[in-house]
Amino acid sequence: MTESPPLTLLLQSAGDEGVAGDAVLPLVYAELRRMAGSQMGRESAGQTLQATALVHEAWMRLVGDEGEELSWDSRAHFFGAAALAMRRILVDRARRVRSEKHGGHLKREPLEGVDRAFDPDDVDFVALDEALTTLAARDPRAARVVELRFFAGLSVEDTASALATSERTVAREWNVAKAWLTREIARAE
Amino acid sequence: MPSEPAGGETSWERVKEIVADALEREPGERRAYVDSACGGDAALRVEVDSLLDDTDTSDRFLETPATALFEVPAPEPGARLGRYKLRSVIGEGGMGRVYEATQERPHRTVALKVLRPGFLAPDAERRFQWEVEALGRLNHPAIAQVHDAGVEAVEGGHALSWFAMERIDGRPLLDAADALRLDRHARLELFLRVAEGVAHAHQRGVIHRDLKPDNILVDDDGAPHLLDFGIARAADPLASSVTTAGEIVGTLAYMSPEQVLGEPDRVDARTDVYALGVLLYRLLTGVPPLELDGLSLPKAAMRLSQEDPRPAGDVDRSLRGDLETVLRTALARDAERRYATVDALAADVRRILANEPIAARPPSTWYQVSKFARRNRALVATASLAVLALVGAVIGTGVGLVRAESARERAVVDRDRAREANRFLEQILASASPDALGADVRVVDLLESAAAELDRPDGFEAAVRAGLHLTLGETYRRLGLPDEAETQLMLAIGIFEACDGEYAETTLEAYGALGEVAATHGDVDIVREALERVRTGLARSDDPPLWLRLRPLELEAAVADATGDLPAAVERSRAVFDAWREHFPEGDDHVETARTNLSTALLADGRGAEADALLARGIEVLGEALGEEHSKVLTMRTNRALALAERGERERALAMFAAIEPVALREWGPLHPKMLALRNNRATVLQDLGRMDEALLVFEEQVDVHLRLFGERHVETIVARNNLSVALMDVERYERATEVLRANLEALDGPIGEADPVMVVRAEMNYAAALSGLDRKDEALEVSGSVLERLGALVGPEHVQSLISRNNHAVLQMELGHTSEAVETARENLDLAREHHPDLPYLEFPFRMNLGRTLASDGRFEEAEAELLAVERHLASDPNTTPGQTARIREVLAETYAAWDRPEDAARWTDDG
Repeated sequence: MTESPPLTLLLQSAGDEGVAGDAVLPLVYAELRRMAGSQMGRESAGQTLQATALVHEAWMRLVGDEGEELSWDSRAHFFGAAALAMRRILVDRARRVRSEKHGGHLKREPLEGVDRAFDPDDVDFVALDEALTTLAARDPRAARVVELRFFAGLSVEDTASALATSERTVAREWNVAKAWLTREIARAE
Repeated sequence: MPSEPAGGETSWERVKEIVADALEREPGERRAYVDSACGGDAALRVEVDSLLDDTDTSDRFLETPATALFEVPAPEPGARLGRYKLRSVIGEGGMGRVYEATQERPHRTVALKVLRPGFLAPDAERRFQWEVEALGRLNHPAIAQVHDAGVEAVEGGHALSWFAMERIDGRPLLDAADALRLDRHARLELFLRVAEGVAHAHQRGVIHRDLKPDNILVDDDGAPHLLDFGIARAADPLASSVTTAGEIVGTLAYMSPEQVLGEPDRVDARTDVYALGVLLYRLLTGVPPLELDGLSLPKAAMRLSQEDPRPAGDVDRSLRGDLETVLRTALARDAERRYATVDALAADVRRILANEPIAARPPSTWYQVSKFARRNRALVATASLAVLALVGAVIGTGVGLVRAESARERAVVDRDRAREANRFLEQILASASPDALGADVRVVDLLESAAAELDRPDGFEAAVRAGLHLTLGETYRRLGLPDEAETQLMLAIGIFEACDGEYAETTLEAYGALGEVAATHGDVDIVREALERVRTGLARSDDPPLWLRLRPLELEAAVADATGDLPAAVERSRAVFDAWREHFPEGDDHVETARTNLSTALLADGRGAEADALLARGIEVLGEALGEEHSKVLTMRTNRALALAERGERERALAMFAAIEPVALREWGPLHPKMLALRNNRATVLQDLGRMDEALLVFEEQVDVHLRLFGERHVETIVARNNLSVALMDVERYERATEVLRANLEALDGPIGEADPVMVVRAEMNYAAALSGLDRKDEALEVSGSVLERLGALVGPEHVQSLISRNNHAVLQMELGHTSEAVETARENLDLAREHHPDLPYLEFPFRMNLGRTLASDGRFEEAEAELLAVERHLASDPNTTPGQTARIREVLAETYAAWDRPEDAARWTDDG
């Protein structure tokens, strides 16, 4: 019988970047997908989970209490994988929607009673993905910040921890990256 | 941090720094800052401006994390879904929320389950409906009926799927068992009712995948109702466009290792067997088989895949024995070792309730297929049977699911597995070219492709592969291709040894099969090796299942059969039959299989009367259970007709064949192997009755059918031709017999080293006889010499078959006037027989008599007289001597004295006295 090595082991060996990444990703990806699909049943009607809680909950479920013993390196690795997984999920979906609608943007009526200043679904994920890939080539850290903040839903503080840098640096990277992405997406259109 | 312009180049670092600084300032201060920071660098300025221009810090771009997309609020009571109005929330579960809902026309209250949202895949809705229709066809008192289902597109490209189900008022199973104060017996009975519901669904191709006490409500009458059947699977297409590898659906405590490890390809009926095992464990012990509470997924997965459940008997001593075995088998970590079906699990629970012994061996699918093969070993194997067995094996890896598929084309099957199996079969079928008939594909070609396909690196997982190798081996064996069979079985053994261990039951099972093949092959060394391995394995096993305990006996029977020791074959087969009979009632598969095998041994040993009585009882029992026209019963009736014929009641046998044939034709079809066997047997009886023209007609037809089915060079065709040739020789049509046999030898000649050498020898033996009949004795002698040589290499010069052939060879030499050589041959033969077969006194008569005859032909009359008189004295003192033997020795004595020129002595043996 084939066995998946436990995630904690994978994460511990993830010190040097990317080695375990390929192994972690499917696990995280699957768990996020599962969780993304199961939010509704858990909360009382009309409420949703805190956005960032999703990835944290995945962390708890996948790693559990053992997570306490893990270094921040490992956590960063986990959240990086989570972000990447989320990015894939969303881009895949956007591609599919696009191919269904022959390029038309998908706008839906916002659900009654849910107030959102920004609907992530307004984002053209395919364009974002392409722009982010270009940004990563020029400025890997800025791209990473975007992944953690937007795709994994990490706060500035957690992002700073994950990247072992200051909150101020994260905020600056985030601002510039958003500006750059906004311009690139606008130019692409 | 203002700096000097960096020459004519706009470095990203520089741009980034300025933009970041600017964005930290209030919007009103930015222009002034940028002016000073960029200085006179126009290119830098353009770049910075282009980034700042589009930026509006009040813009919430990317500020709401993408994860928010997954949050879809659940519908509120009062909302409508399809024809239903939601009333109130009555439950929450991992998969979704359950509402009480009402339908207007017809008015009814249902339980409406809204599932987690997923993204809509292109054809998701159609597939979903397709799955739901299958669920609607489930109709069993223990399964809550699914009335209706639908998919509702909601915001964000999400889909809410919902199911309207029969509303059940009841308590979860474990609570109910406690509240009703059920004792162990009652708990087992309750469990059986649940298992029957699950089995019903499996027969229709639906797997539950999330069996747990919360999904089984027990109403006030104590009747269980299974909720959520197949819903986990049905909901799957809604999210299928994203890879599902690793997805986990289910409730941890009741999940099988393959589920927890996220191997959806391996989820099949045995996953439900596992969950039922957990359920039964908890029902009986009150605790879970493995403590998983509070563990993270990886830890739980590791535990499930590495630790065996605590033996139930350790929790409660009174569970030791059968119940513990049943639980251990249901909870085996490797699905291959579990009960292959829920039916099998239920059958064992029923046996416990009836105080009968359980089928201790986990009956995995390939085991059943091999049993099937063994059961039918008395019959001629042909194409359709072999293909059936293969299909059964491949599909069996999905456990009975495809059986459901073929019966009800639209049932939900475990699609991944079925698809894999179908791919396998398709490739095999596609690679074999249809023969002249068009529709029929030659089975040997199929098997060859199957064997090749199995070994592809991206093929099957080890356990499945090993099982398929085993099946292929069995199939080859039944087709009379022992070399191929051995190759396949060796491969199976190799994998089993590596995966399960040298003395694992799987390994021993494969070894047993190898032993049987080797026996038909006359390869006694390998049979002994297999016997040795099985015996050692048996000795090392703490609690060997019955089949393992009986395996040595079965192999001994096979050895006896191969060495021509028919009485021993009967004795061993009888012991096997008695042992099964002791543990299981008549009508049980094991018992009836053993019965068939015993009757076969009896028939071979010429004990038709016993075989007849045995089969008459079998037909009575099985006929009552399954009906007179059931395939199994038809098989027994065919064998019974043979037994009657063996007893000399040929007219009755013929009448019986005539009664069976039309039914069998309907049941099996004209090309079914059993049909061919039946016709063949009828022909033999006609032949025995002297109705040669009719018999020959059937034999010719048989050759024709086999030619079309198998081709010129196949062993079955060769057997059919052989039978025809023997029939032809019986009516002294040696010319035609020679023709037919020459075709056989040509087919066996050439690059067909893989042909069964026994077949070659048989063909040559008959050819020698036919040539002899045509009085072409020189040629006959030449062929006979070749026969002897082949036999010597094949089974040894002392083998009974070698002895008989050498005897015939001596007679041929004598007839051709090579008298001194004939004497030498005959003496060697008699010595070998005495040395190696002192237990077979009946060989003495023909061999010693023929030694006497050859001596006489060589003019050595004194020596001849001594041998012949000794034979005569021996026969006279042996109560088993037949009148034919007496007449023959007297005739030979008379001839010898006549040739010796002693007419008075010759006359003494010609007259009475």
